Amino acid sequence: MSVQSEDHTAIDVAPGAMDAERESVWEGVQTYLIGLALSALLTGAAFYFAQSQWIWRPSIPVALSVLAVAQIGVHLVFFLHLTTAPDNVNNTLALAFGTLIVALVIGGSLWIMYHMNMNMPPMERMPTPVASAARYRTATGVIEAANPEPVAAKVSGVIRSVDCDVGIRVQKDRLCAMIDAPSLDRAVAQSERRLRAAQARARHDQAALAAAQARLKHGPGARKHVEASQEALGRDERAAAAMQQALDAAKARLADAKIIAPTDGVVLSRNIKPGQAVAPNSEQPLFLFAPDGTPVEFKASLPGSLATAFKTGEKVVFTVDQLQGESFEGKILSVAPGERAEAAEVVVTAPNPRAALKPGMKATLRAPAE
Amino acid sequence: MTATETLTLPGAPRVQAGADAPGHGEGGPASKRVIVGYGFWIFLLSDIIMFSAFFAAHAVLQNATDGGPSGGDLFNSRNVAIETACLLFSSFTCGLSAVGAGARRMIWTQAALFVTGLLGLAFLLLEAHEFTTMIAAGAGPRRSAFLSSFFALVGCHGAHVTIGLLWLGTMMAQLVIKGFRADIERRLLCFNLFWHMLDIVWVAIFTLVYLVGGAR
Repeated sequence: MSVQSEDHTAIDVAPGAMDAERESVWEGVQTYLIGLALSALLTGAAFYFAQSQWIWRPSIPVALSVLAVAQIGVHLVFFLHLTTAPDNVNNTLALAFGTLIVALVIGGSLWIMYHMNMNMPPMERMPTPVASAARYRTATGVIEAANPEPVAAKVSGVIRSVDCDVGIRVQKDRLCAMIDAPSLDRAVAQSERRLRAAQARARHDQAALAAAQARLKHGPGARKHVEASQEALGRDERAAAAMQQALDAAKARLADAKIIAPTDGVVLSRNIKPGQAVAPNSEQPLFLFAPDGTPVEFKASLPGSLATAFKTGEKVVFTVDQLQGESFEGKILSVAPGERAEAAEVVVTAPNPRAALKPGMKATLRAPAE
Repeated sequence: MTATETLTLPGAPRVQAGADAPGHGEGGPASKRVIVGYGFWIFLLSDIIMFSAFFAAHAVLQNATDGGPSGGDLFNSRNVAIETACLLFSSFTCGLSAVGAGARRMIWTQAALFVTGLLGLAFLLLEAHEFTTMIAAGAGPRRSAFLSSFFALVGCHGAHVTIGLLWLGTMMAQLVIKGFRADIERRLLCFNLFWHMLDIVWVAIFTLVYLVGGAR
């Protein structure tokens, strides 16, 4: 064994090292120049292809990857002076092993995550918490509004128009329906006529009074006329005021023909359609409104053995058939044994700030199995 | 430096005399330059494997933008092109410094290292500008998993460049004080390897993160 020291005639070549003894300075610079030129070319091509319009778009990532691999090769050969020569076997083998690991890490991650994504339901359709059907038993109920606000007809007539449909959000005092009430229209018109007549009489009385007062200056004999005129005027003015009151009342009754939303909220139900005759004190309200912020409730029946899984006051999560992918949180109002011993009934109340939950929807309550 | 010393190094290739292939048995144990270079080469490969984990995370989280901005909304390809040019030319000047060191030309080597450092600094400043702009626009690493992986990957590369710059400064100082000593030459060799490796990682970053990711 000969003693080797820091010379460059060692049989292996250090990675990244050029053999200075074998190459002139100019040759060394030349290698880097070639590497720079090739890299610049490949980089330019990559930036060009990334933005070019005439290449088939889906092929661009592949094209860019090929350019990147080529450029990495250029770097390895011209900057790191890696060769396939026997003096580079160790370096190249190490690089090959590194590349294998890199390929495993990146390829494996993409492969695994791709399949996991494929096997996962879309996020927005997934109820939370994630629960397998096998471990959970469900109870269903129909959603009701906790405190619906009914609106009834105050006058009888025929519905002329309906403006509020079920499910829409309304603001307080929004016109929801009009009742056609001809008798009220007539009453208003009649009151207006009477008022005008009374006002005309009052004006006439005033003129007569003025004339009587003018005559009073010529002699006291006219005093009688003045008093009579004053009396007539007072009488007719009182009559006009009464007529005014009657007109206001008639108009107010006509205003009752307008069905308006009592509160900000959502229309829960509508029981009228145009052309339908309505009358006050009917059993059926015209509309049901759910005021904003009021909760909804539902009763869910479930096997009595499961009733112990629920406790009054506890929070529960439920889903609604019509709102796939969403889950809602509610609170248990009461747990009662049902009619049959083996059945129980759970009453759940849930806030409904977005008014997404509407009466009639089917709610499914998940009970963790024992 | 004697052969017995060399043999004590861990992992020193033991070679058998008389093997067929040249370089595998003739001439005894490898020189310290080869051993140090090879050891650093192994470190760099392991560093690249670490980078591959960041690349894998970024590839997997590519579309996890959480409704936030995607690469196409954020990346400025002109900025990336300038960054790429800076690193490529710095890789070239770094190579020139190796040639200069091989020829024992002090001024050449120092000048090439200095230009390498300037280009590296320019790259870092551009990257810092890009990061601060993104964060100011609300697209920081906390915005989405996609951005977390972006900042982790590109930031990790930036951290490497920063360390490389510090190393480069100390190498220039060591060259001034100690001259072309054998140990200094080995360190220069390792620095060259490191700097070229950074450029190779950047090739993967500008291609996969900026060009492919920017099309999303």
